[in-house]
Amino acid sequence: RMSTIFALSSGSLPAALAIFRLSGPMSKGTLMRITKKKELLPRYMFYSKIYDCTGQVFDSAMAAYLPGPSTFTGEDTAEVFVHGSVAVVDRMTETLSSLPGMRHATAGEFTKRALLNGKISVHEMNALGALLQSTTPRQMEQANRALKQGDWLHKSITRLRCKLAIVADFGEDVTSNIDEVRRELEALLIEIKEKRRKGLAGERVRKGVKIVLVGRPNVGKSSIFNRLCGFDRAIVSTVPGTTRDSLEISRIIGGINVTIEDTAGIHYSNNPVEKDGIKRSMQKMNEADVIVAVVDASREDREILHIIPSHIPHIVVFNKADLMDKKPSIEGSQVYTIATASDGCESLEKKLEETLMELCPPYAELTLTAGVSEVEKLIEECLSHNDIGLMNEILQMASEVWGRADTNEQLISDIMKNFCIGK
Amino acid sequence: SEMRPGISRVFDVIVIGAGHAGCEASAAAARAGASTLLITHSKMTIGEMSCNPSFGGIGKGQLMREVDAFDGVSARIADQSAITYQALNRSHGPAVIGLRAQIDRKLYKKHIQKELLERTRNLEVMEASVEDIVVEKKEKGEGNVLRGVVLSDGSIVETKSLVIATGTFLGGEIFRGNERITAGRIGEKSATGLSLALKRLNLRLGRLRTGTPPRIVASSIDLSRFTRMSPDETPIPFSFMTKKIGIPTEQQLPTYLGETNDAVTKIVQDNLHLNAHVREETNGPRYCPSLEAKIIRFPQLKHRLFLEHEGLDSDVMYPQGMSMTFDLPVQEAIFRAIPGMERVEIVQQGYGVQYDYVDPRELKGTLEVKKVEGLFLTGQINGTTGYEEAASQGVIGGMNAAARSRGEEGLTVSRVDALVGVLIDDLTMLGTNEPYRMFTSRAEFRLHLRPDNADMRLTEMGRRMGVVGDERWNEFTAIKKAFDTCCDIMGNDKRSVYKWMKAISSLKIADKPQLMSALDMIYRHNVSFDEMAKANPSLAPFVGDPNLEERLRIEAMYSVVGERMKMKMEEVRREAATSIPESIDYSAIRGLSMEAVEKLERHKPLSLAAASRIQGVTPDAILILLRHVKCEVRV
Repeated sequence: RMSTIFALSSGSLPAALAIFRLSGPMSKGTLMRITKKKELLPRYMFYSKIYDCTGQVFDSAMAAYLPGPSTFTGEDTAEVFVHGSVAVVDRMTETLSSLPGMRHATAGEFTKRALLNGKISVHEMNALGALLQSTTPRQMEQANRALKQGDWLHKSITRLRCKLAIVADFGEDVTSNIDEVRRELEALLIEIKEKRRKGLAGERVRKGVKIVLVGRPNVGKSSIFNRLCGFDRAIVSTVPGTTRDSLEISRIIGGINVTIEDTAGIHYSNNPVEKDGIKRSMQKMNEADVIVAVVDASREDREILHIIPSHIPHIVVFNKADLMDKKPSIEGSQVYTIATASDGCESLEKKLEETLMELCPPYAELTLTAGVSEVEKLIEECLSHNDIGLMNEILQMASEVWGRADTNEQLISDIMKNFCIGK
Repeated sequence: SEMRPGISRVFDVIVIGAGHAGCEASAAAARAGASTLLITHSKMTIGEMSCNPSFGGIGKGQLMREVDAFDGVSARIADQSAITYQALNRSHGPAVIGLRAQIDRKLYKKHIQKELLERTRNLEVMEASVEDIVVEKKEKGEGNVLRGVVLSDGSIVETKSLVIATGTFLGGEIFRGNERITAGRIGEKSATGLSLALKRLNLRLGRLRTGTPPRIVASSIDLSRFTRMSPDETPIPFSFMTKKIGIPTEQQLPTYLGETNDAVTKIVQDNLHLNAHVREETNGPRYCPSLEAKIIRFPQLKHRLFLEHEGLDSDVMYPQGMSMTFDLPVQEAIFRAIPGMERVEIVQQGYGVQYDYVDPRELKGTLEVKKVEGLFLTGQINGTTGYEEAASQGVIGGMNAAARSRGEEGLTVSRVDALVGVLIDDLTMLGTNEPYRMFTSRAEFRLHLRPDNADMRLTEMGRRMGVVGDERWNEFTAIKKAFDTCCDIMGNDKRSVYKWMKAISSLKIADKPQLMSALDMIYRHNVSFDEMAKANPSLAPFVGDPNLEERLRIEAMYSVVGERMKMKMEEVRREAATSIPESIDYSAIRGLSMEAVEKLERHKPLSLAAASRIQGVTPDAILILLRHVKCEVRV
C-alpha cells in the first residue's frame, strides 16, 4: 500500500505559523487521530487542539482535510497550521512519524506524486521548480506564466491528433476538413519556432546573465567593478596587473540576476602567474553573455576591441575620460567614465540594463525543454505528406517524443465526449 | 442429460444462428473440412440484414477484406448484391479508406442462401430451436467439455464443438414507446433457453441496448429536397476475388443526405417521457446510436440523416441516423417535420432492443469459452455491434471450432496482424460495457492493417488453418510471388538521384546526396511503373498489372515509417504476451496511484498491453505493473 508522506511546508523557524502537509491514503485517519475529531468535513478549515501519541495536547492549530483526486498530488491530503516554534514542530514531526503508514517525505516527493498521478506534466513540474527557486520578479513572472500555460504543446498536438482521428474515422458523423488541420499544423510550427526563440531568453532569465569585464592592465577595470558592486570588492592600485585572478559578484540589474566578473588585464606577458590569469580572462570573455570592454581613454591603445567575439553583446567603456583629448569614433554601445570619481557609472549601469532588456525581453518564456526541436522536425515531416494514416502516425511520434502520448482509446473517448458520433 | 436413441450422427461443428456471424462460422468450419450443422429458426432468414442495408464503412471495410482473406462468404456475396458503391475517405490514403456499399437485402439473402444451402460442401442446415447445451466435466483438470445441444423437441444432437452466434436473440426484449416485448427481432422469438444454459455455465452475462430506425416508403418522399450522392464511378469491390460486380455502375442507385431541424428536436424533447428504452439508459454507450441520445446530448446540433434504398426494386428506404423507439405517431410526427417528408409513410416502426451478452473476458483469443472446451461464441453475443464485426468473428470462431474438432487449440489472430485481431484482443482482454464498434483508431498499426493488403496479412494463416480454398490460394500465391519479387528488386535497386535522372529522362529533382531505392522513387517522385521498368529491365515481366503496381506504390509509401513500426510491433507482441493473473490485487501493489488502482480494478485487463489501453492508466503505472507481474511469475 502507498505510504502517506508529510513534511513541514513552510519556511524557517521560529515563525508565527508552521504548515505541515500530508498526502496519501492515511491523511484523513492521521488528521482525525491528532485532532481527536470523529468526523472531518472535506475542504473545511477548522480549529482544534493537537494531540501527540500519548494523547497529550501540545498545540492548537487550524487544519483542513482535502480529499483526492482534486488536490495537488491527486491523493487525499491534509494541511495543519501549527504554531511556528522549534519545539512544536519537533513534536509534530515526531508524532506524525510514529503513526501507522506515515513517513517523512523525501525532497520533491509531493511534486513527484503529482506527476505520477498525472496531475501535472514534466513541463509543469519544471515550471513549478522554477517558481519555487525564483529570486527575482522576472523569474517569478515567467515561472507563473509557464504554470498557467500548462503543457501547451501536448495540448496542441493532442488536439490535432483528435482532428486527424475525426477525419480518419468519423468523417460520416462530423464535418471535418483536412485543409483546416494542415493550416493548424502550420500555425503550430510557427508557434514552436517562436516559443523556441522566447525559450532561449527565458532560460537566461532563469539562469541569470554573466557580465564579464575585460581590458588591458591598468585601464581601471577593478575601479569600475567596485562601482558596479557598490562597495570596494577588488583591490585597486596604480600597479598594472594587480588583479591576477577573476573576481565575481552577484546582483540584480533591471530585475535580472547577473553575475559580474572582473578579470586580469589582457596583454603580452612573460610572468607565468600573470600569463595564466590572462588565459583565464580570455576564456571568461568567450563564455560571457555580456562583455564590458574597458579602454583607457587617454591612450590610443584599442587592441582589446579587436579580440572581443563579435556575436556577444558588448559595451565599450572609455575610462579616465577626463584625460581624453577628443571623442573616439567607434561603432556600438559606449560610455565615458571616470571610475575613480564614479562619474559616468550611472550611464554604464543604464546601458547594462538596456542590454539585459534586449537579451531578456519581456516576452521571455520558460516553456521549452528537451525534445522540442525533434517535435518541430516531425511536424514538418507530417506536413510533407497527404496520407492521413501517415500524418496521424507521425503526429503520434511527435507526442511520444514530447513525453506524454495519450492512447488512442483516450482520443476516441475525448472525441465521443465532444462530438455526436454514431448512427 | 441423457443421450437419446435415434441420433446416430456426431457433427464436428454445430453453429446456432444464421446471421452474419453464424453464416461465416458455418461456412468456415465447412471449408475446413468439418462436418457442420447450421441450426436456425427459419431457413428463410439466413443472411438477414436486420438493420442497415449496407456493408462496410471506415474500419468495417477492413474487416470485410479480412473475412475475404480467410476465403469467407460475405464479401463475395456483397459484391454480387451491391446497388451502390460509395467508398469513404477515398482521398485520404489507403490506410483510412472505408470500403462501403449499399446492398439489396433480398439479393443478398438469395445469394447467401444459395451459397450455404447448395454450394457449401460439408454443411447441413436444420430448422430448429436449441433449448439447452450438453456439457460434461473434464476427466482431467478443471472445466467442462462440450458434448451436444438439446433441441426444443427434447432431442439431442452431438457435436465436438459448438458456435453460438445468436446475436440479440439471447434474452432479447424489444422496446416500442412504453411497450416491452420479449423477442429477438421484430416478429421472431428470442432464445431464453440458451440464455439460461449460459448462466448455468457460470458465464458472466451483461445487458446491452441497440436499436433500428423505422423503414419508410420511398415514393412518399420528395427526394429532390435532399442532397443526392451518386455511386462511385470506379467501384472498389469488397472481395479480392471479385472480377465483376453484380450490378453495373449505371444501374446503381444514389443515396440521399438530409438533416434534422429544430422542430424535430422539439418533438423528441417533448416526448422523451413516453420512451421506456431511453428511460432505462443507465449506462448508455459513449456514442449516440439513437436520435433520442443525439438530441439529449447535443440538442443544439442539426443531425445528419442518410436515405438509403433497401433494394433495386424495393420501395422501402432506410433512414440511416434516425434510429428511435417512440410510439408510431411520434415517429411519424418527427419524420413529417423534415422538409420533403411531409407525407412520408412508415412501413415498419423503429424499435429498441435489449439483449444479453456474455462478458467476452470469458473467452480465449480463439473465441472459445475458457470454462467449456469446444464452446465458441461469435458476433453480437460478445458485445459487438455491426455486421462486419460479427462476420469477422464468425470466420475466426468457425475456423477455430473446426480446429477444436480435430483436437487442436486453434489460432489467435494478433492485433498486430489484423483489425479483427484488434477487435478480439480488445474484447477478450478488456471486455466492454457498450456495444463495441470498430474504429481504425483502435489499432496501433493502422498503417499496416489496411484493406489493400488483407490477403498478404492473413491468407497464408487461413490456408494453414484449412479455410482457404484452392482457387483463392492459387490466385493469391501468384500475386504474392510477383509482389515479393518486385519489392525485392526495387528495394535493392539503390542509386543516386543523379543516376536516377540519367535513367529516367522525365525526372527533374533537386540533387539530394543520399541513395534512393526504386521504391522511394515511385512514392517520393511519382515515377510510373512503366518508366521504372525501363530503368530496371528485370521489372519488365511485371508491367501491365495495375493491381500489382498499386500494391507496390502503397508499400513504398508506408515504408517511410516501416522500421519504427516493426519495432513497435515487437513491443506490442511482447506486452500482449505478458498476461496479468485474474486474481491480482492491485491495491497491494506498491507505488500504483489510487486512480490507476481504481481503473485497473474496474476494467480487469488480462494483459499488460490491455492495461496500457485503459484511459487514465499512465505509462508509469504500466511500468510498476510490469515489475509486479514479472516478480509474481518468478515466485
